[in-house]
Amino acid sequence: MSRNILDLPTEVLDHIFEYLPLEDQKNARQVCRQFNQQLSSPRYYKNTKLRFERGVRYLINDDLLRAAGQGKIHCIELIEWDSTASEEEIDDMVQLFEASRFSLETLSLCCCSELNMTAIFRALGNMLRLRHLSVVCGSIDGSTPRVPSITSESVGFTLITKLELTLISESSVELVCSLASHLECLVLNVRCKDLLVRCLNEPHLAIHSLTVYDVHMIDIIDPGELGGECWRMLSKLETLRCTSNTSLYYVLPEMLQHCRNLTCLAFEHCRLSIQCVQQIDTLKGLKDLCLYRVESDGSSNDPLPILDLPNLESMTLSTEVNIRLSKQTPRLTSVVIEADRMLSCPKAILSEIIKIDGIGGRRLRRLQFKNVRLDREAINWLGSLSIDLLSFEDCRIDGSILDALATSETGRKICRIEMVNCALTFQAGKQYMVRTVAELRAMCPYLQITDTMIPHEGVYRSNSANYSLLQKWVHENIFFD
Amino acid sequence: MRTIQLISSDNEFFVIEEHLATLSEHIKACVEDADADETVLIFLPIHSAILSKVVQWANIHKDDLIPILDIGYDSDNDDTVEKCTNNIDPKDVDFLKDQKDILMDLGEAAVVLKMKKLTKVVCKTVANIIKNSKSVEEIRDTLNIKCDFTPAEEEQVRRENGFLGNI
Repeated sequence: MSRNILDLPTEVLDHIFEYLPLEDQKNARQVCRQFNQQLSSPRYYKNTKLRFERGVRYLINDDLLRAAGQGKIHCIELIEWDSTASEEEIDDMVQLFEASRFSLETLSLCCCSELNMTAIFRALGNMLRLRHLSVVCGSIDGSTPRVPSITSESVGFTLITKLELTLISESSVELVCSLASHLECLVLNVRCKDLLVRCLNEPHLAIHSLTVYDVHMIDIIDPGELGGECWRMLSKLETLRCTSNTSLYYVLPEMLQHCRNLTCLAFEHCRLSIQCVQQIDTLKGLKDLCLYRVESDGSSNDPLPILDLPNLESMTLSTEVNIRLSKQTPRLTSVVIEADRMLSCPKAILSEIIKIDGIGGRRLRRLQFKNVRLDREAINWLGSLSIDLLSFEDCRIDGSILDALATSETGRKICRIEMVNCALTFQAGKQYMVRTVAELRAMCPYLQITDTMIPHEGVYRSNSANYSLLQKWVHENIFFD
Repeated sequence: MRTIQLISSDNEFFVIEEHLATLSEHIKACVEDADADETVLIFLPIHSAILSKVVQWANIHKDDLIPILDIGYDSDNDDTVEKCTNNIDPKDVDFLKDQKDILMDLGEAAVVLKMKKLTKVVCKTVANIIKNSKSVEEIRDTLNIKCDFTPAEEEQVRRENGFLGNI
């Protein structure tokens, strides 16, 4: 009887360690040999990365090189490693890359100088596991560094499947072209529209995921600039994400027309034409749709386009999105609603969702609100849904909603409520609140409230008794991390 | 009516209700082929003191709204929920509070019986013990582990820790 933790099967120990954040894993490694041995396995190191930043000079010492040689380093990040680096430092770094050639999977270079990148790229030719390369460049001292070109005999580059790149010069397009045939996922940070056109028209590109960011206001691509090669690439695409995008404004409808296999589409901070929204409606295979802070053109007199997407499973919308959903959305089980403006009310969206046929009889896997304000009337909408996880993040919630959930049938249809960084407001913060949460707990055994804020003091100044009660309530009912 | 009896390593009998069978993959597999009126005896390498606690735990969860095996919102692919250790069911927190001494035995029994939920709860509780400890020494004390490092090894681990950043 009374077994020791070390008697447990190792897989149980692994299970325990997986719950620990890195800092605690480090502590646990110092406990005993077995803990150390188990926590030294690559599965735990996967989540750790070496980060070299300008100003914080790491010494590349024997310990680090030994760890690299043992295959413990999976991810390296170099930030602003510029011309201030001495030759000795570059040599050390190259040595580190050589040592970790068997294990390095992810490398990100952020604003490094051309000379340093060239040295690293030479070492990368020998990598055996490198899958994810990220090269972010900005102009240093007014000049744009060239991304080193790679030669066809560098085996190390042939495994790269995910490339993140700033499209700032010809050389970055060349990198895309030389990696094109292996890539599965491409993330482009576009600074110049011509470079984007060249990338999209690259004949060997056969990716299934494309993400396009426009950082600066850049020129808009004209219809006709994209050709057959691009359409062929798009027809295989499964995921398309556009963030703060302007360059694709005119060509997006035509692009979407060719995206016949798209399952995931996301637009954030984009302006979409009415034709584009109409094209979205034709993507019947779409499972995941995100429209966050999207402006669609068209005068207020136009009827709002209706999206009829029968396969849609998960949706992220911001509160101001001007679309309507078809009533036939039988697979929709996950909805995230974010506010564009601080604490706006998701009334319009919620009433759209409620109108979906059979939504009340279905179990929603997740209904999540971010940065919204929920007034008392929200209970009318929530009341008609069955939800596995109802989650609030950075929201302001009328406390009476919780009360209603606890005392009505509604609460029985919700399995778990999660609140992160929310403020609860109560009009009558008295004894019944304690009862509320206790009752809510009994019904939703997994009620979890994390880091919920006490309402702003101003709200409570009128009645200090309330305030202390509330503080007591917070202490008793909220699990602090 | 089908009866299920568990027999502990010290030959004590526990007659359990059907619902416990649904909590344990092992028991479920044992009774799957049995006829409706059969008595199923299951011999387990678990001491009665522990087994009785397991049965007690199962009874606490008898009236749960959601079947414990079917835990959609706690599924393995949801990383954020998975890594979280402060979402232990308050009933389990209460139950385990008094079982500090046999926590590991419960964990082992849960593995033998293939009780996913109980395994999770025990693991989270142990993880919390490690998380809440203020020093390495305290972890050793609470979990009753002897330090078997040589001073040089200990120093080595500490140095390796030093250059590992967080993602």
